[in-house]
Amino acid sequence: MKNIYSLRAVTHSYGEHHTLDVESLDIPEGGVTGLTGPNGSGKSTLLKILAFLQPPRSGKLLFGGEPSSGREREIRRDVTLLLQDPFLLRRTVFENIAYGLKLRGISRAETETRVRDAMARVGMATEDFAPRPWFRLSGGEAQRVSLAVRLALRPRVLLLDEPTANVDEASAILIKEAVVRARRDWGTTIVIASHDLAWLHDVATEIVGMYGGRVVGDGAANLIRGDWRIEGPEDRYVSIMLDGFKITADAPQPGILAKCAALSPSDINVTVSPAASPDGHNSISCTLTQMSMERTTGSILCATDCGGISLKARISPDLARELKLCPGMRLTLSFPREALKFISSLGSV
Amino acid sequence: MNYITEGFFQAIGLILSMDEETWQAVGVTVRLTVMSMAATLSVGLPLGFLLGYFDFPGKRGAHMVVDTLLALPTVVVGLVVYAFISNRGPLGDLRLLFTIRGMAIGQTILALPIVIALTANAVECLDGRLRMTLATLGAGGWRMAATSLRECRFALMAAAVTAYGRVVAEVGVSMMLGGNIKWHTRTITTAITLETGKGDFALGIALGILLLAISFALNAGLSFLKRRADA
Ligand SMILES: Nc1ncnc2c1ncn2[C@@H]1O[C@H](COP(=O)(O)OP(=O)(O)O)[C@@H](O)[C@H]1O
Ligand SMILES: [Mg+2]
Repeated sequence: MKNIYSLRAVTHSYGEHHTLDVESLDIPEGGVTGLTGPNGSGKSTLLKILAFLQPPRSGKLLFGGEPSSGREREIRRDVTLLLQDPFLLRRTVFENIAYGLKLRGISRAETETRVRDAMARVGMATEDFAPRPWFRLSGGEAQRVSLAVRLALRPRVLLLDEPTANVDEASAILIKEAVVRARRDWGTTIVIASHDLAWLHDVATEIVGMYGGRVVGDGAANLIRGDWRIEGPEDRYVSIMLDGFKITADAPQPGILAKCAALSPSDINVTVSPAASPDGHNSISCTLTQMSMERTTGSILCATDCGGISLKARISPDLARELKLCPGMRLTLSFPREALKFISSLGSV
Repeated sequence: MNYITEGFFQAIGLILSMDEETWQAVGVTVRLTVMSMAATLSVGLPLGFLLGYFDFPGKRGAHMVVDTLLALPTVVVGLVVYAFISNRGPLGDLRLLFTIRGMAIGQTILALPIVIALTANAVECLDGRLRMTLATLGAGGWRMAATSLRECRFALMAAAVTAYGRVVAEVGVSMMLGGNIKWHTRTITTAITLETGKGDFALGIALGILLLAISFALNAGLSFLKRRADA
């Protein structure tokens, strides 16, 4: 599959504050790429760069296999971003959706058709909603209109910044369906930033995790931020969690501060009985809170609550069946010390 | 106290049986206001937009000058314009002194800072997400500027109404540049000043009521337009 975006050593900063440092990232054409990570990890900044709303400070950004610099205006016609905090013009819903089409010189008749189609895609009846003024919409409706504004453009790339953050369940489902249909009908490449991993796993064909301005693995990675302290003669780092249990890790690489450790869900072993942990293994008990099917890997992702922190473990569907897992069960998670890797974030380096 | 209520009832009677001289003052006021407002808006809106929309060196200084001019006294405007358009002044050949056009120049100078300052302010107070949103839809350059101007149309209306308030209520400029000449440059406000000076409260009150009625009609029209724009 061709990559529509290729980023190499792309950085961005707001003033002195370094916000983004993406060593390498490829986004395949026609796919649905999820971006996930905690608040402030740089998702919105990255999306604005992908939307060509702000140029990166440095680095190489290829669009469609060719350098993008100098073509920004032209590319902006093909790429559109639904901002994290959506905004409607002080006009009717119809005029809002028609605005971008008017810019592109699309005929009146075609505009009518496209507005109707875009509204249907987000589950809004044209007769009811098209003549409404901007202020007579609920939060979820405004979000769906904002999405319809972008869908009407039939863009080559659709970037969505936390589209489900402030909407109800029903709207979240409608937004998901609209995204899937856009990809199927027009081959639109979609990039979505979201906190909602379960929702994201339902739509995304791949997931990119972000932390502190950097890309960290497949997005399912557990990030354990704690009060890491050196303990014992072997310079092991220990973090004591709310419940009083300990997590032990090896010392970080030189130059990296012991602030945040990443733990891949695939490195966690799940059992139902309290297992005695072999030396050098962490073993903690927790409650299973949620299970979801991970479309990108075909595995089951188990979300658990371990005394205040949540950890995700990835298991095979067979194991899930064998253990007869269901939410609410007590589980034991174990993982080797070496599986924990301290990662650096910008600003702490 | 009695003479005030008496004056009020007499005023109603006067309005109903208005003489031609008074209607003339009303006509001058309307013509003068239309001229001043047309000039103020066609110069002030673009200047205010430029001041609010673009970043340029000296922007803060320009803001401060405009804000200071908001407090310009009418008599100072009258004095300066008088100096320019009187027979001895550099524009004396245009014969503008004691004409409605000369008065309109003074009123325009009086109202311009209001329209410029309020327009610039309205454009600066536009939601920060607006420009970003327009960019995501592919708008740039003049298209983005035009849409931004349309987004603050209600604030622009307020700017126009405020400027109108200043223009229609002032006496100093009309008196100094118009000369309060009967049948010619006498406006409602200069007529009120004159009649009150002569002790004719009833006529003064009648003229005041007429002035308010004109403003009321104007605002009713605007509010109708605004409701149409909202729907
Ligand atoms: N306009 C801005 N000016 C200054 N700092 C900003 C601005 N936008 C974002 N930041 C900073 O950049 C970092 C990344 O923010 P953002 O990209 O919004 O992350 P996310 O979307 O993942 O929450 C944060 O530390 C934030 O404070
Ligand atoms: Mg964000």
